[in-house]
Amino acid sequence: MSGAIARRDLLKSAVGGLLLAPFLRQRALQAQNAMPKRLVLVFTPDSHPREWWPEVSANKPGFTLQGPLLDFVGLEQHLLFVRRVDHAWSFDNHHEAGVAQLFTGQRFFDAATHYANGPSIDQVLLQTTALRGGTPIPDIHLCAADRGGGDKRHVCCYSGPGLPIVREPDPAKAFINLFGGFSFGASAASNAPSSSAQARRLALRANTAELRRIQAFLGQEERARLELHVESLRELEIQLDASTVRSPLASSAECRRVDIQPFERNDQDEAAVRRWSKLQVDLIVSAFACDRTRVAELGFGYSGSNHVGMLGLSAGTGGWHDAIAHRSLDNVTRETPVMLAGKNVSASQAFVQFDRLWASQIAYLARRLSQIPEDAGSMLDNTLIYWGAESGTDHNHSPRDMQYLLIGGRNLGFATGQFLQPPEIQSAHKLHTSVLHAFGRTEARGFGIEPECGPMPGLLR
Amino acid sequence: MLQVRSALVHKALWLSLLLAPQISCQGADLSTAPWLPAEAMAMQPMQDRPYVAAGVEPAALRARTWKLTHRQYAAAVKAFIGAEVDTSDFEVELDNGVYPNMSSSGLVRVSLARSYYDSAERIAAALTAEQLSALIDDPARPARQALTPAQKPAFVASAIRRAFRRPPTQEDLDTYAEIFDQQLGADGDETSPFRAVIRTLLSSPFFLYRTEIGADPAQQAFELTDYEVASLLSFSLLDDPPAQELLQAAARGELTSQAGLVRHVNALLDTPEAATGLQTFMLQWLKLQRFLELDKDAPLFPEFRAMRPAMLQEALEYLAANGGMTGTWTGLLTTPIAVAPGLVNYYGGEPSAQGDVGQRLGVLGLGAVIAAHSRLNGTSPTQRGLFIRDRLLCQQIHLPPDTVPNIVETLATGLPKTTREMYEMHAREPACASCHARLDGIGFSFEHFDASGRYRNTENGVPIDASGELVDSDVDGPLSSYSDLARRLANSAWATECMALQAFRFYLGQIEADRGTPAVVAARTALAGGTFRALVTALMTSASVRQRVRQP
Repeated sequence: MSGAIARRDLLKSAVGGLLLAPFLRQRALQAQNAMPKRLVLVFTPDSHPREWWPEVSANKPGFTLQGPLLDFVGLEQHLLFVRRVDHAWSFDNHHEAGVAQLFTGQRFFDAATHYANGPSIDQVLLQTTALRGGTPIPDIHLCAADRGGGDKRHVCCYSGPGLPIVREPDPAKAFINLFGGFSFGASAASNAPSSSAQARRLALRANTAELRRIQAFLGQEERARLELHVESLRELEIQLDASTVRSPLASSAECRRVDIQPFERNDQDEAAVRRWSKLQVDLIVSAFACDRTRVAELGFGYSGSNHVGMLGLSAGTGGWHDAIAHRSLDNVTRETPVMLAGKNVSASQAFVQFDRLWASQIAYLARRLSQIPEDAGSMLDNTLIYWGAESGTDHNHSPRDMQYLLIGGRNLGFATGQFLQPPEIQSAHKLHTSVLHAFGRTEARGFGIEPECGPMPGLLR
Repeated sequence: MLQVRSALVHKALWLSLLLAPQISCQGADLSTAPWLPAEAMAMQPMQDRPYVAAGVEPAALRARTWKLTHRQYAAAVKAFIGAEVDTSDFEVELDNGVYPNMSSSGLVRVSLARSYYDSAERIAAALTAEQLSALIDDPARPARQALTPAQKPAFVASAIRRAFRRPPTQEDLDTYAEIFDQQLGADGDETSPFRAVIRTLLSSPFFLYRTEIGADPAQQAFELTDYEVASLLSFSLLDDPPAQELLQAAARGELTSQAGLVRHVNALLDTPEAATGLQTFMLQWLKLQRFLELDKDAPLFPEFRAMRPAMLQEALEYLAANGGMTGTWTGLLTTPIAVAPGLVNYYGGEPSAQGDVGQRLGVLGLGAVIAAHSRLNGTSPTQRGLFIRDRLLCQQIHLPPDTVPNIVETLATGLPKTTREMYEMHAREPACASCHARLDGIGFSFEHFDASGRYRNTENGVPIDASGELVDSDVDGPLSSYSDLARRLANSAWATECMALQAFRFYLGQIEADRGTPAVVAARTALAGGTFRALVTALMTSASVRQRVRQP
């Protein structure tokens, strides 16, 4: 673990990028050819307080986690912080701009919806790399403490310009989407497709041909929208085929049914939120362990979500976004006393607790993955959890000092266990570019609206 | 030429907004010009002017598909084969934040596609042989006649006609005849081929979407077919598939003539379903469609949650009476509210000379509207002002980047006694003043109503001052209360135009391409001198209903 990287090293890395490209490609290919790689995009609302950044000391190697991230203690070697990262553009108070570009690196698609004008990094990787492998389901998009619904503040992933991917809030529906037709514990499925499967296949093919007929009448934008339908039918057919083929990885002991009992999806109650989050995390872990999919998204709340009264935030203060996150930036107002579960605390202390609630769920995900042996390491070593929020540090309502955390992915080449603090401000697009490289897109020179930005120095070994 | 320049100017302006590293409150140009001719308007540096002149923009919308909502899907299944279908386990519908049912919002991803197939299989499996037989449209055919393979042609043709809401093409007939044949003898059940046809039709894009694609893909500019017009009218106005009468009118070619279109739109507008559709538009325009999920800070407003159903009901009844087919723009904004007995004590306030409570008047005085556009724990003149600018004046106002402390932070000082005093701090901060003068001046006029919609005469012991000012409109002037604002907006050509634009988005499911869309201009003119029925009639008989352009 190291602290700030030297300017010379930074320059060396930047200039040397091109020279090292063949070696990087080789390393990436080696990584891809070993265990399956996986990606989880995570969104939490309202940014993080300054205490989210770890402490570094001249007298001590590495870093020390603070309040919001204390649940990650013991996982430090899997964490990779990068400070001085900015988004490329902003609009209004950055909420909607921040969410739109968080994982897409794009501007708005239009003035009315404020959707992103291009695909998110998970979709880029699914389209351009072997990330999916032979899994029956390309990706799964889940949320907790949010109703879903898909307006601009509830969406981070896009399959293309103006084409949002809605998150599923209901674990029971998510279970069906992930495990429909799958037998837990079965060693092999019958190779004989059922007559109902044959009938569905006939319908899928006939309906696909009908979609193609309609597309011939449409312009590009409308065709693209309908192409999603075509792709969905293709996926359903793949899933029909996959029901007779079982991944050898599905024999893992962790490939087990998630027990989903009915519960109230209440985004204002801490216990409900924890239960909700845990179910969604367990579904992701089980889906990975059963090799049903290798790409997931997990959103907590939504941009600017308030969660009135959660954690015992007292009456009259409004919700967490309005009353707590908003007070975080200013050194005076962050000391405003608020009542939290009957105790008098400062707004900044409350913000730490709020942020820790989300962080603890992500830590649970990381810890579970770290406990699943895979090859010489763990599933976490083969998985990147890519965590972002919509606004800069202390909820600064700007694109400055964004907080992305990379968790896991050691076998993908991420130089985890570090707190990188480059001497100059870096574009978030460089982060995304490095992630593309780690997953095998070593020819990528940039991402989104910065196609030539290059990778982030020091991020990959 | 003018069209091109107008579009380019708008694109350039939009790009400039996006390219700006940070848009400050000061930087946002919120100026609004007086009523100007289209050419002059195109040169103004904002997007928020009302529409101005007919004929500036083409009427044609783009060739498109428009996916049925879950509710429309269930209604279409019912109309097709008489089965009830539960869509509650379908994927949450995409709401893009403008109106929930825009044509661009209908995306069929894997989860929804699977639901369609599962649902189709359940429905087809549950049909009895008699029900299948009854789908054959042949009056000469004996009732309860057994199904045999010989009935394939009649069954396939009838089923397609019912499902697709149009006559089958030869390609359709071939496709479904093949589906039929492939299931013949597959499992020993002689009804299996018939069920396979139904199953496949229920998951067909011709069933799941309304198509607006015309008949000839080689034509770049074209008119919709009669059947496409029938589906557009019926789903948009009634939220239901076209009834038999409308399909017969389409068969007679009546919907592609202007006279026929007017006649049939009027017939549809006479139905109760059209009134419900108009009420749905009003609810969504006011952003009340999720009102029953709206929360307030419970200890501050302990009764609010229990009162939500009554408040919503009050809004529905008011909209039915004043925002219905016979309602007028002036009436919607200025008719006194007869507060329901169950809400009188909750709202509080002094009875006025007109007998209403708390001086409630017009749609803006509805408790649900007021509560929906307030903060969790306070009134927010800014939020209320934004609502008026966005939904009643169609003006975009950009939020500040919060480089200055948020106003709520001043609560910590304990200095302001009232919300008004707190928000008046905006006026003393130059970075805030330019925007907030346009927002808070409107919002202050609602200060007699708290965040939960209740009436109040004081706040923290200080008498309420509900005076404000409306600027940057065609009806500028001082406001003594929100009722002054309502009366001014009732006389505003800009607000009338905005209402027409909102209706365009709802009924035609598309964001307007640019200013001057003829359908909007016609609807504005109709509403200015008439009723909401006239507005909807003007929209749905406009060229935008029939004309389409195939984009590259």
